[in-house]
Amino acid sequence: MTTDRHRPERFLPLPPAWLDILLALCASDLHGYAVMQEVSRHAEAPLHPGTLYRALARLLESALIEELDERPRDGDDERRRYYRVTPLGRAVTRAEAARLTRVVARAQAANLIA
Amino acid sequence: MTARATSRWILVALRAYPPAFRAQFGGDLARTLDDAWRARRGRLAARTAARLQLLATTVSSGLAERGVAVSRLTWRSHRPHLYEPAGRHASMWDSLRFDLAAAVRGLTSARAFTVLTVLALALGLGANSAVFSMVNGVLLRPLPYQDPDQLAMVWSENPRLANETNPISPANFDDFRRMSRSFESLDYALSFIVRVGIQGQEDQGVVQVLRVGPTLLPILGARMQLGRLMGPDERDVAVVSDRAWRTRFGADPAIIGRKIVLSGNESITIVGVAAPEFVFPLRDMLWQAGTTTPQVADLWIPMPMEGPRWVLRDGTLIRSTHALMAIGRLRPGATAAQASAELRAHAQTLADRYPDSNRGWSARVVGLHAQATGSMRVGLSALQGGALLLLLMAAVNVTNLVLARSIARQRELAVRSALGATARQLVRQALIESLLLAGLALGLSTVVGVWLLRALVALAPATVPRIADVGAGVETWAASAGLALAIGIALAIVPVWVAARTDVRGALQDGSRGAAGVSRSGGRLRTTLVVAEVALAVVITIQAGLLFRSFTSVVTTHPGFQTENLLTFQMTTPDRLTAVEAKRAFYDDWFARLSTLPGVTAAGGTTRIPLGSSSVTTSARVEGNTNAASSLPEVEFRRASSDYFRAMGMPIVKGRAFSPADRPTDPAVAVINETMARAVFPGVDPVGRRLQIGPDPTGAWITVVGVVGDIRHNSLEVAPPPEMYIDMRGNPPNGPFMAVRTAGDPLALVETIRGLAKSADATLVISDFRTMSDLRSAALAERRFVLTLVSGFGVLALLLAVVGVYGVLALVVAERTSEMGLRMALGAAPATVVRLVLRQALTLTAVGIGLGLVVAAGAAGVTRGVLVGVTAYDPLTYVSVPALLLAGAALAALVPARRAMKADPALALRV
Repeated sequence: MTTDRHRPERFLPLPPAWLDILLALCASDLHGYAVMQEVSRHAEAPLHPGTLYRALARLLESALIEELDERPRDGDDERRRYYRVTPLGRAVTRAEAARLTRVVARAQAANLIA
Repeated sequence: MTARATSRWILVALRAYPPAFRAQFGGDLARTLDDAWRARRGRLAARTAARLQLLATTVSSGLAERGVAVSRLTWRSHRPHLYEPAGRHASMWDSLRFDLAAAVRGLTSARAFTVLTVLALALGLGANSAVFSMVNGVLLRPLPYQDPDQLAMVWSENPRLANETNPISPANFDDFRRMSRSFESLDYALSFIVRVGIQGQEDQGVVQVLRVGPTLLPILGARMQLGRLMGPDERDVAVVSDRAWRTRFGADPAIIGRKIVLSGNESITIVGVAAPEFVFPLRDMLWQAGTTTPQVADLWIPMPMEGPRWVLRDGTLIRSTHALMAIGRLRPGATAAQASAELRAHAQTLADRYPDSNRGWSARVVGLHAQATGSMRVGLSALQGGALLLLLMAAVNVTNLVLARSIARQRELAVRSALGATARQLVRQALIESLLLAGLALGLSTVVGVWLLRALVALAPATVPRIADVGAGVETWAASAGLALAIGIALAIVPVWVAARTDVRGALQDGSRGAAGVSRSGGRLRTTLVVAEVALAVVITIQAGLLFRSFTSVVTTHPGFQTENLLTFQMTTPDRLTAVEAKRAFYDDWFARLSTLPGVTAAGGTTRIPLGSSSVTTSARVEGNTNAASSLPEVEFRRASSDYFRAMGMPIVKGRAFSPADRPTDPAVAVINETMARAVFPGVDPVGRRLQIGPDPTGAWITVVGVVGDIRHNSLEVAPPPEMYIDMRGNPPNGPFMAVRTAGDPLALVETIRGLAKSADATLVISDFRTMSDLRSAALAERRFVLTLVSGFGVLALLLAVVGVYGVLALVVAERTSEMGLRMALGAAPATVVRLVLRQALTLTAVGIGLGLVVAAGAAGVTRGVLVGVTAYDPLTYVSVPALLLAGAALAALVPARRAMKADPALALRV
């Protein structure tokens, strides 16, 4: 049961916001606002803070990310929380990226994109 | 970087998220939002719009998260989540669900308590919703007219007459209409409905016609489902009611333009069919609605005032015949009271200008709604009051049950609070449990209410206005829900009150002893409740008793004639009979054949049948009296055939009845009743005296030939007014009522009489066969209806009170068993113990009765209006009701008393 719950495929396909957040966190541990900025730099649609934090809550519940106990930088606002992707989260991100690659390949095969 | 002050707006918007979410992410989210807030730059308008959007999205996202929280808590999953019940962040919803589950468990384990409580409350609520549906449908619902609140009726008022609302004369109406500033529009109708036959449909009986002013229906805002309203100058047209269209004309869609000929060779064209909801008039709008037939208009026919009927020889309108009802639309902002004051002033002007006809006559304006519902108001309000009192009693009984249960659960409460339950949690738990009870009762009460309402409508007399379309609506349900909510909240106070008095340590050490303190104050509350209950029962039962005494008083009222073996019906003479001589010959022949039918012992006719038709009055001038017409006595007036009094069984007190030997024309003869003999001929023998009727001082003289006993004409409840009869052979009527005295069952003669009518003339219309016993029973119907319900309430109230007394004593005895045993061990006789219990029961009841009597006497004014033949302080009722209650309480106390007597001394002494 435990293994089943932690199979990365169980989470696919990922909601777009989840993937954006996981990708940002795979690069480095970030606090919420930084995740938002990072996502906004790459993504097509801006990510609203409300949406971001609801997604963070779900990701935490699913154990795809975890909250950092230590603070990477001193002197930061006390209220800030830092998040890190878990091994499971990394596996899920990888699985999703692979899935998307297959999607892209199929689109190319269908001559939809170059 | 240090902490920054966050915008107030963000903090407010964050409240949309569930607390657990805020606890986890609040600070970070606030900080992020803060950054986003500051990042919104640009012109003020653009910046504000962007920030508003930020807030709005935050709120909607927070609400969405609340939805997630609720669903996480409702459907358990194995996945750990933010809203874990065991976690520190348990949400309000979660504990609510927990309390609800606890309440359900508690109520299912105490099944007897739950069933009793729900049943008692459901009955109380159901009775209330049924009665309220009826009150709403009959009294409160707007009338079926356009902007009905602006409509009002104008009546003539004359302090010399018993009735405050009398019809208006045509000339006065015309003057009022011209002079009034309060009314935007004003029109009239005849103040009574006439019944006529339709040629070619004689076998279908009569239709009921109301003659109206040409603009009356538009003033009421009548809607047509077919055709149109009558035009202002149109004659000989008619609008048909929906009911008559369906029953009389087979709902013929091509009815518009059809010509029909009414009795009296009146030919009219149907121009419209009214919408189904348009019903006019409603009973109490007609004058002296003392009839037992529902008076519904089937046809509305315009009646211009300039017709020959109202115009005198000199071309002016008649001022002394009061025959019109007037209905108008008040100007916006004007009230019936203002209009009354204005018309009173105009009436004074008219009285000064036309003293002969108008002296003593004033005016009175009554809102149409008040007019249409007036006669049912007292009865229905009494019913609603009774139902509410009953609900109150049920609630008191239930409070007692809850109290007993709370005391029994003290240990549980003590354990819970010892384990750290806060007062707030205990209150919430109590509230949820009692709201759940109230909710269950509300659910059951909708079933009970619908069922009761059906019974009520079936039981109600047909003459109750608008009874046919009474139904339970949203308002009724909302009222019930409100009551249930109030009861639910009130009941929650009891366990909280008990908990507040519980000594936690004592209760934990030893349940029975630790509870003693609460038991005592709980006992005090319980006795108070029972006293209140007994008092309420006294109030309800005394009202029921007074209504019962009134009913028996009305039932035993002798109407002045023999109601048994008497058949009545109405007939409309053939139209070919126009000349008076021809009609007279027809009636002579008709009565001769009718009275010789086998099984008939006497047969007579009259223009107004008692208890079955309204009446008319006229002024009467005794020979030698030269006073102005306006100061002459008003007497009721009808025509009758020579055998009428014998057929009715009315005694001839003096002189004689009409005789075939009386010449039909001058000098006409009259028979008067005893009241008129006393009132108009005080101290003299009226037989042989002459009088004139109507205002015309040159009219024909009528000789009094006899005095007949008084009868109750309009109602069994009203003392007979002065009344005079003249011989109908003088001016034979077209639509008289027949009274046939029979040897056996009156209804067995109906077919024989129909056959006789057919053989006499194929166009003779006879209708409305009813026995006088039925008319009498119908005249009692409304009173019987109210009495039945109030008696039902009274019986239930007594029952509830007795059960309440029993419950308290049973608990008291249970608590004092060891004491009783001890007393007997010390030598007390069993009788002493029984006396002890009985004394307590009777003391409680006596205090309740005393209180109840005071309240009942104080409330006497409320029902005084419906009492007849008995005072509001009727000694018999005020003595017998308490006696009944005392007896009931003594009986209720006997069971626990017996139990106390059997208390085992040995058991009591064992500690």
